[in-house]
Amino acid sequence: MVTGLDSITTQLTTAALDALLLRHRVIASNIANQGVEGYQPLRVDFEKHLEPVRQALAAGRTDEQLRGLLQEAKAATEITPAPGDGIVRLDEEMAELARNTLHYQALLTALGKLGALKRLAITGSQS
Amino acid sequence: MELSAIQAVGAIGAPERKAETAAGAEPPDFAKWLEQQVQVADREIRTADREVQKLAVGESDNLHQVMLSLERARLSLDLIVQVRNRLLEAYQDIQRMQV
Amino acid sequence: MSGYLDIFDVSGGGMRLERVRLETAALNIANAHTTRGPDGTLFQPLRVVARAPAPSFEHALLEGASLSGASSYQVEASGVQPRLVYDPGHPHADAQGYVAMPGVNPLVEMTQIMTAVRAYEANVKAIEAARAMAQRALDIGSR
Repeated sequence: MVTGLDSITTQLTTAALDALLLRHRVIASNIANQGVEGYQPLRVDFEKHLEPVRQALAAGRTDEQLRGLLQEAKAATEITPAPGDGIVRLDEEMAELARNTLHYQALLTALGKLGALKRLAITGSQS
Repeated sequence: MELSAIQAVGAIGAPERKAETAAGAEPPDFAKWLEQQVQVADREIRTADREVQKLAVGESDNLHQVMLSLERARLSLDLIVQVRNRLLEAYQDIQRMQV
Repeated sequence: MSGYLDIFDVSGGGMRLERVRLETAALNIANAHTTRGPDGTLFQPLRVVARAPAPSFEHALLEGASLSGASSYQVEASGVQPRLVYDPGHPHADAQGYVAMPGVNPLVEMTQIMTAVRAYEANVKAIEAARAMAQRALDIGSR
Protein backbone atom coordinates (compact mmCIF):
# COMPACT_ATOMS: atom_id res chain seq x y z
CA MET A 1 0.00 0.00 0.00
CA VAL A 2 1.23 3.47 -0.80
CA THR A 3 1.54 5.28 2.51
CA GLY A 4 3.52 8.43 3.07
CA LEU A 5 6.66 9.58 1.37
CA ASP A 6 8.86 6.84 2.85
CA SER A 7 7.08 3.87 1.35
CA ILE A 8 9.24 0.95 0.38
CA THR A 9 8.54 1.86 -3.24
CA THR A 10 10.00 5.33 -2.78
CA GLN A 11 13.02 3.87 -1.03
CA LEU A 12 13.62 1.32 -3.77
CA THR A 13 13.31 3.96 -6.45
CA THR A 14 15.59 6.40 -4.61
CA ALA A 15 18.21 3.71 -4.10
CA ALA A 16 18.13 2.90 -7.82
CA LEU A 17 18.36 6.61 -8.69
CA ASP A 18 21.40 7.00 -6.42
CA ALA A 19 23.13 4.11 -8.16
CA LEU A 20 22.32 5.49 -11.60
CA LEU A 21 23.73 8.90 -10.66
CA LEU A 22 26.94 7.22 -9.48
CA ARG A 23 27.02 5.30 -12.74
CA HIS A 24 26.77 8.57 -14.64
CA ARG A 25 29.81 9.92 -12.78
CA VAL A 26 31.72 6.79 -13.74
CA ILE A 27 30.69 6.94 -17.40
CA ALA A 28 31.55 10.66 -17.54
CA SER A 29 34.93 9.86 -16.02
CA ASN A 30 35.56 7.09 -18.57
CA ILE A 31 34.70 9.45 -21.42
CA ALA A 32 36.77 12.36 -20.04
CA ASN A 33 39.80 10.09 -19.51
CA GLN A 34 39.55 8.07 -22.72
CA GLY A 35 42.85 9.51 -23.92
CA VAL A 36 44.68 9.47 -20.61
CA GLU A 37 47.55 7.00 -20.32
CA GLY A 38 47.14 4.49 -17.54
CA TYR A 39 43.44 5.20 -16.99
CA GLN A 40 41.41 2.10 -16.20
CA PRO A 41 37.76 2.22 -17.40
CA LEU A 42 35.32 1.67 -14.55
CA ARG A 43 31.85 0.28 -13.99
CA VAL A 44 29.27 0.38 -11.19
CA ASP A 45 28.03 -2.90 -9.74
CA PHE A 46 24.53 -2.41 -8.36
CA GLU A 47 21.91 -4.50 -10.16
CA LYS A 48 23.52 -7.81 -9.39
CA HIS A 49 23.30 -7.04 -5.66
CA LEU A 50 19.55 -6.54 -6.03
CA GLU A 51 18.77 -10.22 -6.57
CA PRO A 52 17.77 -10.85 -2.90
CA VAL A 53 15.47 -7.81 -3.08
CA ARG A 54 13.86 -9.06 -6.31
CA GLN A 55 13.21 -12.46 -4.81
CA ALA A 56 11.80 -10.93 -1.63
CA LEU A 57 9.43 -8.76 -3.67
CA ALA A 58 8.20 -11.75 -5.67
CA ALA A 59 7.74 -13.73 -2.46
CA GLY A 60 5.69 -10.93 -0.91
CA ARG A 61 7.96 -10.22 2.05
CA THR A 62 7.16 -7.48 4.55
CA ASP A 63 8.30 -3.89 4.12
CA GLU A 64 10.68 -4.27 7.06
CA GLN A 65 12.41 -7.26 5.49
CA LEU A 66 12.60 -5.48 2.14
CA ARG A 67 14.15 -2.42 3.79
CA GLY A 68 16.84 -4.58 5.39
CA LEU A 69 17.66 -6.32 2.12
CA LEU A 70 17.75 -2.99 0.31
CA GLN A 71 20.25 -1.65 2.86
CA GLU A 72 22.49 -4.64 2.17
CA ALA A 73 22.23 -4.09 -1.57
CA LYS A 74 23.16 -0.41 -1.16
CA ALA A 75 26.15 -1.27 1.01
CA ALA A 76 27.36 -3.80 -1.56
CA THR A 77 27.30 -1.25 -4.40
CA GLU A 78 30.80 -0.55 -5.63
CA ILE A 79 32.87 0.92 -8.44
CA THR A 80 34.91 -1.78 -10.14
CA PRO A 81 37.32 -1.89 -13.09
CA ALA A 82 35.49 -2.75 -16.30
CA PRO A 83 36.13 -6.27 -17.58
CA GLY A 84 38.29 -6.42 -20.69
CA ASP A 85 41.58 -5.03 -21.89
CA GLY A 86 41.51 -1.77 -19.96
CA ILE A 87 40.90 0.49 -22.95
CA VAL A 88 38.03 2.96 -22.99
CA ARG A 89 35.74 2.35 -25.94
CA LEU A 90 33.78 5.48 -26.69
CA ASP A 91 30.95 3.71 -28.51
CA GLU A 92 30.35 1.42 -25.53
CA GLU A 93 30.45 4.35 -23.13
CA MET A 94 27.96 6.30 -25.28
CA ALA A 95 25.59 3.32 -25.30
CA GLU A 96 25.91 3.01 -21.52
CA LEU A 97 25.30 6.74 -21.20
CA ALA A 98 22.08 6.63 -23.25
CA ARG A 99 20.80 3.59 -21.36
CA ASN A 100 21.62 5.04 -17.97
CA THR A 101 20.08 8.44 -18.69
CA LEU A 102 16.84 6.91 -19.93
CA HIS A 103 16.49 4.66 -16.90
CA TYR A 104 17.14 7.60 -14.55
CA GLN A 105 14.49 9.69 -16.28
CA ALA A 106 12.00 6.79 -16.34
CA LEU A 107 12.36 6.25 -12.59
CA LEU A 108 12.04 9.96 -11.84
CA THR A 109 8.92 10.21 -14.02
CA ALA A 110 7.35 7.18 -12.33
CA LEU A 111 8.17 8.60 -8.89
CA GLY A 112 6.66 11.93 -9.88
CA LYS A 113 3.43 10.30 -11.03
CA LEU A 114 3.16 8.30 -7.80
CA GLY A 115 3.62 11.53 -5.88
CA ALA A 116 0.89 13.18 -7.93
CA LEU A 117 -1.40 10.26 -7.07
CA LYS A 118 -0.81 10.80 -3.35
CA ARG A 119 -1.37 14.53 -3.76
CA LEU A 120 -4.65 13.86 -5.53
CA ALA A 121 -5.85 11.60 -2.75
CA ILE A 122 -4.86 14.08 -0.06
CA THR A 123 -6.00 17.36 -1.55
CA GLY A 124 -8.81 16.21 -3.81
CA SER A 125 -7.54 18.29 -6.71
CA GLN A 126 -4.92 18.14 -9.46
CA SER A 127 -2.61 20.91 -8.32
CA MET B 1 -3.23 5.86 1.09
CA GLU B 2 -6.31 6.27 3.26
CA LEU B 3 -9.40 5.72 1.09
CA SER B 4 -11.82 5.19 3.98
CA ALA B 5 -12.73 8.90 4.06
CA ILE B 6 -13.89 8.60 0.49
CA GLN B 7 -15.64 5.29 1.14
CA ALA B 8 -17.86 6.98 3.75
CA VAL B 9 -19.29 9.11 0.97
CA GLY B 10 -20.97 6.00 -0.44
CA ALA B 11 -23.47 6.12 2.44
CA ILE B 12 -24.98 9.33 1.00
CA GLY B 13 -26.49 7.34 -1.86
CA ALA B 14 -28.47 5.06 0.49
CA PRO B 15 -31.72 7.14 0.90
CA GLU B 16 -32.09 7.29 -2.91
CA ARG B 17 -31.94 3.51 -3.06
CA LYS B 18 -34.89 3.11 -0.68
CA ALA B 19 -37.06 5.65 -2.52
CA GLU B 20 -36.53 4.10 -5.94
CA THR B 21 -37.14 0.50 -4.85
CA ALA B 22 -40.58 1.60 -3.69
CA ALA B 23 -41.42 2.43 -7.31
CA GLY B 24 -40.78 -1.25 -8.24
CA ALA B 25 -38.21 -0.61 -10.98
CA GLU B 26 -34.64 -1.94 -10.92
CA PRO B 27 -32.68 1.16 -9.77
CA PRO B 28 -29.12 1.96 -10.71
CA ASP B 29 -27.41 1.61 -7.34
CA PHE B 30 -25.25 4.66 -6.96
CA ALA B 31 -23.83 3.74 -3.58
CA LYS B 32 -22.83 0.29 -4.79
CA TRP B 33 -21.32 1.73 -7.95
CA LEU B 34 -19.27 4.18 -5.91
CA GLU B 35 -18.05 1.39 -3.63
CA GLN B 36 -16.98 -0.56 -6.68
CA GLN B 37 -15.10 2.42 -8.05
CA VAL B 38 -13.26 2.73 -4.76
CA GLN B 39 -12.24 -0.93 -5.02
CA VAL B 40 -11.12 -0.41 -8.61
CA ALA B 41 -9.05 2.62 -7.67
CA ASP B 42 -7.49 0.75 -4.76
CA ARG B 43 -6.55 -2.13 -7.07
CA GLU B 44 -5.15 0.13 -9.76
CA ILE B 45 -3.03 2.04 -7.23
CA ARG B 46 -1.59 -1.14 -5.79
CA THR B 47 -0.80 -2.39 -9.28
CA ALA B 48 0.89 0.86 -10.25
CA ASP B 49 2.91 0.78 -7.04
CA ARG B 50 4.08 -2.75 -7.82
CA GLU B 51 4.97 -1.80 -11.36
CA VAL B 52 7.17 1.06 -10.11
CA GLN B 53 8.87 -1.32 -7.68
CA LYS B 54 9.63 -3.70 -10.54
CA LEU B 55 10.99 -0.83 -12.60
CA ALA B 56 13.28 0.21 -9.74
CA VAL B 57 14.77 -3.27 -9.26
CA GLY B 58 15.18 -3.89 -12.97
CA GLU B 59 12.35 -6.35 -13.51
CA SER B 60 10.21 -4.28 -15.82
CA ASP B 61 9.92 -5.59 -19.35
CA ASN B 62 8.47 -2.47 -20.87
CA LEU B 63 8.24 1.14 -19.88
CA HIS B 64 4.81 1.87 -21.32
CA GLN B 65 3.23 -0.77 -19.10
CA VAL B 66 4.52 1.03 -16.00
CA MET B 67 3.48 4.47 -17.27
CA LEU B 68 0.05 3.24 -18.38
CA SER B 69 -0.64 1.59 -15.02
CA LEU B 70 0.21 4.91 -13.36
CA GLU B 71 -2.22 6.71 -15.67
CA ARG B 72 -4.98 4.17 -14.99
CA ALA B 73 -4.46 4.59 -11.27
CA ARG B 74 -4.65 8.36 -11.58
CA LEU B 75 -7.83 8.22 -13.67
CA SER B 76 -9.64 5.82 -11.36
CA LEU B 77 -8.66 7.87 -8.31
CA ASP B 78 -9.59 11.07 -10.11
CA LEU B 79 -13.05 9.68 -10.78
CA ILE B 80 -13.96 9.02 -7.19
CA VAL B 81 -12.33 12.25 -6.03
CA GLN B 82 -14.46 14.22 -8.51
CA VAL B 83 -17.61 12.37 -7.44
CA ARG B 84 -16.78 13.09 -3.81
CA ASN B 85 -16.23 16.78 -4.59
CA ARG B 86 -19.57 17.06 -6.42
CA LEU B 87 -21.40 15.26 -3.62
CA LEU B 88 -19.84 17.57 -1.05
CA GLU B 89 -20.84 20.61 -3.08
CA ALA B 90 -24.42 19.32 -3.37
CA TYR B 91 -24.51 18.58 0.35
CA GLN B 92 -23.31 22.09 1.15
CA ASP B 93 -25.92 23.55 -1.20
CA ILE B 94 -28.61 21.65 0.64
CA GLN B 95 -27.29 22.81 4.01
CA ARG B 96 -27.56 26.42 2.89
CA MET B 97 -31.20 26.11 1.91
CA GLN B 98 -33.68 27.91 4.10
CA VAL B 99 -36.14 25.42 5.52
CA MET C 1 31.70 22.94 -3.89
CA SER C 2 28.16 21.83 -4.65
CA GLY C 3 28.30 18.04 -4.82
CA TYR C 4 25.58 17.64 -7.39
CA LEU C 5 27.34 19.96 -9.82
CA ASP C 6 30.55 17.91 -9.76
CA ILE C 7 29.48 15.69 -12.65
CA PHE C 8 29.70 18.69 -14.95
CA ASP C 9 33.30 19.32 -13.85
CA VAL C 10 34.45 15.87 -14.97
CA SER C 11 33.03 16.28 -18.46
CA GLY C 12 34.23 19.89 -18.61
CA GLY C 13 37.76 18.73 -17.87
CA GLY C 14 37.49 16.13 -20.61
CA MET C 15 36.34 18.76 -23.09
CA ARG C 16 39.25 21.00 -22.16
CA LEU C 17 41.77 18.20 -22.73
CA GLU C 18 40.35 17.34 -26.16
CA ARG C 19 40.24 20.98 -27.16
CA VAL C 20 43.92 21.33 -26.28
CA ARG C 21 44.70 18.23 -28.36
CA LEU C 22 42.80 19.76 -31.25
CA GLU C 23 44.60 23.09 -30.97
CA THR C 24 47.97 21.40 -30.71
CA ALA C 25 47.36 19.30 -33.82
CA ALA C 26 46.11 22.35 -35.72
CA LEU C 27 49.20 24.28 -34.63
CA ASN C 28 51.48 21.50 -35.84
CA ILE C 29 49.75 21.31 -39.20
CA ALA C 30 49.85 25.08 -39.63
CA ASN C 31 53.59 25.08 -38.94
CA ALA C 32 54.51 21.99 -40.94
CA HIS C 33 56.70 24.15 -43.16
CA THR C 34 57.86 26.78 -40.68
CA THR C 35 61.62 26.70 -41.01
CA ARG C 36 62.11 29.96 -39.09
CA GLY C 37 59.77 30.94 -36.26
CA PRO C 38 59.53 34.41 -34.65
CA ASP C 39 62.54 33.53 -32.51
CA GLY C 40 64.55 32.45 -35.55
CA THR C 41 64.52 28.71 -34.80
CA LEU C 42 62.96 25.71 -36.52
CA PHE C 43 59.38 24.98 -35.38
CA GLN C 44 59.26 22.19 -32.82
CA PRO C 45 56.13 20.00 -33.11
CA LEU C 46 54.15 19.71 -29.90
CA ARG C 47 52.17 16.94 -28.28
CA VAL C 48 49.75 16.66 -25.37
CA VAL C 49 50.57 14.16 -22.67
CA ALA C 50 48.00 13.17 -20.06
CA ARG C 51 48.73 10.48 -17.52
CA ALA C 52 46.48 9.03 -14.86
CA PRO C 53 47.73 9.58 -11.33
CA ALA C 54 49.00 6.37 -9.72
CA PRO C 55 46.25 5.83 -7.12
CA SER C 56 42.97 4.68 -8.65
CA PHE C 57 39.88 6.84 -8.98
CA GLU C 58 37.43 4.46 -7.40
CA HIS C 59 37.44 5.76 -3.87
CA ALA C 60 37.52 9.40 -4.87
CA LEU C 61 34.55 8.88 -7.16
CA LEU C 62 32.62 7.18 -4.36
CA GLU C 63 33.23 10.19 -2.15
CA GLY C 64 31.93 12.47 -4.87
CA ALA C 65 35.17 14.22 -5.75
CA SER C 66 35.38 15.55 -9.27
CA LEU C 67 38.30 13.93 -10.98
CA SER C 68 39.61 14.18 -14.46
CA GLY C 69 43.00 13.24 -15.85
CA ALA C 70 42.59 16.38 -17.92
CA SER C 71 43.65 18.38 -14.90
CA SER C 72 47.11 16.86 -15.20
CA TYR C 73 47.89 17.20 -18.89
CA GLN C 74 51.01 18.80 -20.34
CA VAL C 75 51.82 20.30 -23.69
CA GLU C 76 55.42 19.50 -24.53
CA ALA C 77 57.82 19.24 -27.44
CA SER C 78 57.28 15.96 -29.22
CA GLY C 79 60.98 15.43 -29.77
CA VAL C 80 60.49 14.26 -33.35
CA GLN C 81 63.61 14.87 -35.44
CA PRO C 82 63.37 17.38 -38.29
CA ARG C 83 63.06 15.99 -41.82
CA LEU C 84 65.68 16.91 -44.32
CA VAL C 85 64.15 17.87 -47.66
CA TYR C 86 66.22 18.47 -50.77
CA ASP C 87 65.27 21.95 -51.99
CA PRO C 88 68.30 24.02 -53.07
CA GLY C 89 66.10 26.99 -54.03
CA HIS C 90 64.77 27.37 -50.50
CA PRO C 91 66.09 30.49 -48.66
CA HIS C 92 67.02 28.34 -45.65
CA ALA C 93 68.71 25.53 -47.57
CA ASP C 94 72.17 24.54 -46.34
CA ALA C 95 75.34 24.23 -48.43
CA GLN C 96 74.25 20.81 -49.74
CA GLY C 97 70.78 22.15 -50.70
CA TYR C 98 68.88 20.49 -47.87
CA VAL C 99 66.26 22.24 -45.75
CA ALA C 100 65.40 21.06 -42.26
CA MET C 101 61.60 20.87 -41.98
CA PRO C 102 59.70 20.41 -38.70
CA GLY C 103 59.04 16.73 -38.02
CA VAL C 104 55.29 17.10 -38.49
CA ASN C 105 53.39 14.15 -39.94
CA PRO C 106 50.14 15.59 -41.31
CA LEU C 107 48.44 12.19 -41.32
CA VAL C 108 49.14 11.67 -37.65
CA GLU C 109 47.96 15.17 -36.85
CA MET C 110 44.75 14.72 -38.85
CA THR C 111 44.02 11.49 -37.02
CA GLN C 112 44.64 13.33 -33.76
CA ILE C 113 42.11 15.94 -34.79
CA MET C 114 39.45 13.38 -35.68
CA THR C 115 39.94 11.49 -32.43
CA ALA C 116 39.89 14.70 -30.43
CA VAL C 117 36.71 15.91 -32.09
CA ARG C 118 34.97 12.59 -31.50
CA ALA C 119 36.04 12.52 -27.86
CA TYR C 120 35.07 16.17 -27.41
CA GLU C 121 31.58 15.44 -28.70
CA ALA C 122 31.29 12.44 -26.41
CA ASN C 123 32.03 14.71 -23.45
CA VAL C 124 29.38 17.13 -24.71
CA LYS C 125 26.89 14.25 -24.82
CA ALA C 126 27.77 13.38 -21.23
CA ILE C 127 27.07 16.95 -20.15
CA GLU C 128 23.78 16.99 -22.03
CA ALA C 129 22.76 13.74 -20.36
CA ALA C 130 23.61 15.11 -16.93
CA ARG C 131 21.59 18.22 -17.66
CA ALA C 132 18.59 16.20 -18.89
CA MET C 133 18.70 14.11 -15.73
CA ALA C 134 18.90 17.16 -13.48
CA GLN C 135 16.11 18.87 -15.41
CA ARG C 136 13.88 15.85 -14.91
CA ALA C 137 14.60 15.97 -11.19
CA LEU C 138 13.71 19.68 -11.11
CA ASP C 139 10.40 18.95 -12.84
CA ILE C 140 9.25 16.56 -10.11
CA GLY C 141 6.23 17.93 -8.36
CA SER C 142 5.10 20.17 -11.20
CA ARG C 143 2.37 18.95 -13.47
